[in-house]
Amino acid sequence: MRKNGFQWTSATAAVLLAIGAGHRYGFDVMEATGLPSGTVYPALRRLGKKRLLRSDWEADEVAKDAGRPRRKYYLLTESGLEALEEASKRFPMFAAALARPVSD
Amino acid sequence: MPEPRRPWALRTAFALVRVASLVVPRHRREGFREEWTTELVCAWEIQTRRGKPSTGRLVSHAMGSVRDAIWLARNEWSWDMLSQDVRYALRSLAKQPGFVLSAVATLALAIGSTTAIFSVVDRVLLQPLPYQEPSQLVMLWETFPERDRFRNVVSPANFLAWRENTTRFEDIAAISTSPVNLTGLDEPMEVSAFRVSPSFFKLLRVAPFMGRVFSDDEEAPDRSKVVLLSYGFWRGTLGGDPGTLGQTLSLGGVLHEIVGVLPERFDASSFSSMQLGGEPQLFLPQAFPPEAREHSGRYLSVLGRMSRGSGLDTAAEEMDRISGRLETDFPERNLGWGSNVVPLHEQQVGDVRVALLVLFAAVSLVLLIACVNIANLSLARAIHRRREVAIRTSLGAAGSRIVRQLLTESTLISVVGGTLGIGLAAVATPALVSALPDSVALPRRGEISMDGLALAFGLALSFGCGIVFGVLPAMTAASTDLNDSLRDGAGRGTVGSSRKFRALVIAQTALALVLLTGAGLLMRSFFLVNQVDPGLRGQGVLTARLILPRTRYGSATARTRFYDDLIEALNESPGVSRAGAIQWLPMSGLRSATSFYRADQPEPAPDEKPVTDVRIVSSSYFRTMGIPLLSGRDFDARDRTDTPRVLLVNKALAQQFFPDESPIGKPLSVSWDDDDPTEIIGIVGDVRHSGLEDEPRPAVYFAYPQMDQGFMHVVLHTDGDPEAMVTPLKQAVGRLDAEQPLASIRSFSDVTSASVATRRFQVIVISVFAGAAMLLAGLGIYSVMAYSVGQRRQEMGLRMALGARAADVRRLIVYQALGLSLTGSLVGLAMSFALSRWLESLLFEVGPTDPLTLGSVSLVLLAVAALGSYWPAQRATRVDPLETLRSE
Repeated sequence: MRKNGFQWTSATAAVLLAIGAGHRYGFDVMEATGLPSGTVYPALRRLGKKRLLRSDWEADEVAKDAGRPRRKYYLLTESGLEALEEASKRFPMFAAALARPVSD
Repeated sequence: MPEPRRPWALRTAFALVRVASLVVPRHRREGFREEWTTELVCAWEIQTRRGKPSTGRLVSHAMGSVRDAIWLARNEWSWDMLSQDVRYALRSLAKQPGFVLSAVATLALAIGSTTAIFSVVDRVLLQPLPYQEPSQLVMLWETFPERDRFRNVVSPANFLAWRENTTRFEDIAAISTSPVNLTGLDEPMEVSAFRVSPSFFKLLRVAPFMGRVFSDDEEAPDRSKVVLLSYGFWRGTLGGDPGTLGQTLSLGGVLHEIVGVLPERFDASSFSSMQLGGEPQLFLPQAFPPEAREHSGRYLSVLGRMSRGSGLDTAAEEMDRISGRLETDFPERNLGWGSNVVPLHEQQVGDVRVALLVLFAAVSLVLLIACVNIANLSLARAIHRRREVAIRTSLGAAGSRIVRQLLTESTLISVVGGTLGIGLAAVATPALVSALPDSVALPRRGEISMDGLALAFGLALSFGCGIVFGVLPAMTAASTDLNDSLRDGAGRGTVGSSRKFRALVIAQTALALVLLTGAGLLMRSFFLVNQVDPGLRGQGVLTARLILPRTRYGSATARTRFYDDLIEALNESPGVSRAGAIQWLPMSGLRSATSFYRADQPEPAPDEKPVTDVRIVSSSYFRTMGIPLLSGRDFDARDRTDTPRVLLVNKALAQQFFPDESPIGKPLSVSWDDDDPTEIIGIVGDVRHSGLEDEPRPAVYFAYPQMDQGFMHVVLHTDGDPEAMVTPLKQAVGRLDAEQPLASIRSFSDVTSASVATRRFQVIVISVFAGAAMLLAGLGIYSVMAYSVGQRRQEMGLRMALGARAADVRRLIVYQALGLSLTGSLVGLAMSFALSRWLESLLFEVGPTDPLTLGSVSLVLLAVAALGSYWPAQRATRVDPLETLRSE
């Protein structure tokens, strides 16, 4: 399935759907999708490069208060939202499995 | 809560991420590390929370960073990232515009000249000739090893015999040059023409631009009144008339039908060994009358195309066999003669190969010196930047990263300089080549332009130079000892760096010396060539060529009468002091020769007969050219067509063949018109007929009334400017025959000057390179000494505080420079000894290790070193002792 020259793989779709479901950083996405880090990260990079995702670093204070290093959060862009719709149609099973309320 | 010490599982995982991050483009690297650190911390916490932390799982988790890093390296290592390096370099370079400007300019000139010379070497020596399957094309020559003749022109009889007997050649074609008089257009003119076998164009696979090439039957004398035009002649003389085919041209008084025009790029000028009048404008069929089979006179160049599957060896073997048989069958004209097969490319460029390679080596040396010079300057900068580098290193920048940054800077300078240089070369090379006088030997000059190979060469040079002059400074900066640099004052040099400086200066001086030696030797050769006494006085002499067409001057008597009348008319012209004529003009590179023997002694076997030049002159020739009559008498009015033939010999022949007796009155048998014994009536001085660099050869002179000739060069001497005699000469000829053109009108000084033009050109080019090398070496010494003085301010201050005088300090600096220069010169002398044998074939009466040349260039370099170190030394004396002591 191609749109805007983007080559969907199930892993990329899963990662996008996970982000859409509110999983916002790398490890969280891995936990949600069950995919290994070596798959999730390149998928995140691809989505980022296609400008379907953007990323923001967590504020320093928040990380300090939590006693951990800063996290990098991934968010859907406008076109990311469109792509999410498309991915949900293409991979309904993933969408159903991932569309659960987020617990952080 | 105090942060617990991280378990080694985490540390291992972090190390893996750090390693992986090395391949991540710099602009993503920091984020990459931070994200993965978070990632791993998070994973470890969750594992711990779940009560089953596993090092294996964490490490396998961290392995994901490797895939991530590889993905990033592949997809994000983009121009963006290069541009970041470049932006950084630009910022850093912008702070030193002086350095950047001088480095860019130096490299632009050095890379530009190297690329320009390379494009000439490339087109002339490396590129195949512009014909189909050029490696199958060869020239065939006769040889006479006993007389050291290996590329002798071929007799028609032997050419025909070769053509009938070879099987290794697709075909062979005869070529001869014969300027012809063209009449019937605005004014009569002499036009250079080639007579070629019809197969000539087929061998070269040349298709006509218009019309057709010759057909095989046009080799028959009665069918050969056809002519092919060069593109230039068609456009220039005939105005590019499209209706030109089928029209006729009157050549030598005979009408020839125009059957075709050759393509613009077809250049045949390098085909004949006897180039009378340069690039051919017309092509006529080389016809052989039946009696040609008997002719032993040699005047043909022969081109051959080896058939597919035949190589040089097999072709030469077959030619040897054929010429061996001809020697046995016709010993009277072939005894001692053999054959030689020379690849066409070798034939055309062989003579200039050494000279071109020497020029290329020279310009490469200049480039190398320029690189060393810039390396010098960058090294000084690198040392100044040690603190910056040390701080960045202590903040965690890797050594390799700093090396890369510095190399980016040097490559940037070099690529900018190189691009400018390549542009310069692309524009200047064709312009300079076309501005070269024709007398400078440079084959294939029409083909010279910058092609892809030369462009690639220039670009490779640009990058290569950046690395060559960037690597040493970069390594120096990166290997800086952190503590030393931070402790030290800003930009203090160390012993190690000054050793590098000295090595660079020595290298530069050595290279400059090699180049100066080459230039010096060539210059001295040129000087010595010009000192040679040509054996005649050419000042004030004007020369021009006349060809009397057989159609209107059919008999020897008619021709003789014309020359007699012309010389008499010229002698009476106001301004002309003497006038005469000779067939082949001295110094024009052309001559004729044949075998002879003393007719008062037994006739030697054909292959043992000596050879003499044959020159046909007017009786007034020797006086006009200032050639002394040593004994006997000159030609005069007694030597007419109907009186017994006599001859004059030169001193070389007299000394060699009549060592203990007077040759006057003795008979010589010269195999020219016939070989009847001819009486020697006088001896004249030797003339360097073939050029200043050739030893005088034995020569005999005949008077033109007694030896038939189709063409002559008129020589006339005036006490004023020879150019002023052009009009009187033309008028004198015109009055005798309005249809008779004159060609090649020039002063004899121009003829002589053209004969040394190639040598002069070599000297000029290599001297320019050597001058550049010297300048660069001087600048190198200056910058190193200036830097060294800056480094040693305190030492100087201390010395002066302790009582050293300004002169002592100055001497200290200058002596140091001289020491470096002397060491460099010694290294350079050793290199020159090793290299100069390559130059040997270009030298004249001077050995490649000429002590005078080597001594003087060493002195010049020492003087340059003294000069280059004088200002820094002067500055050292102005150090204020108190100030420098306080500053510490």
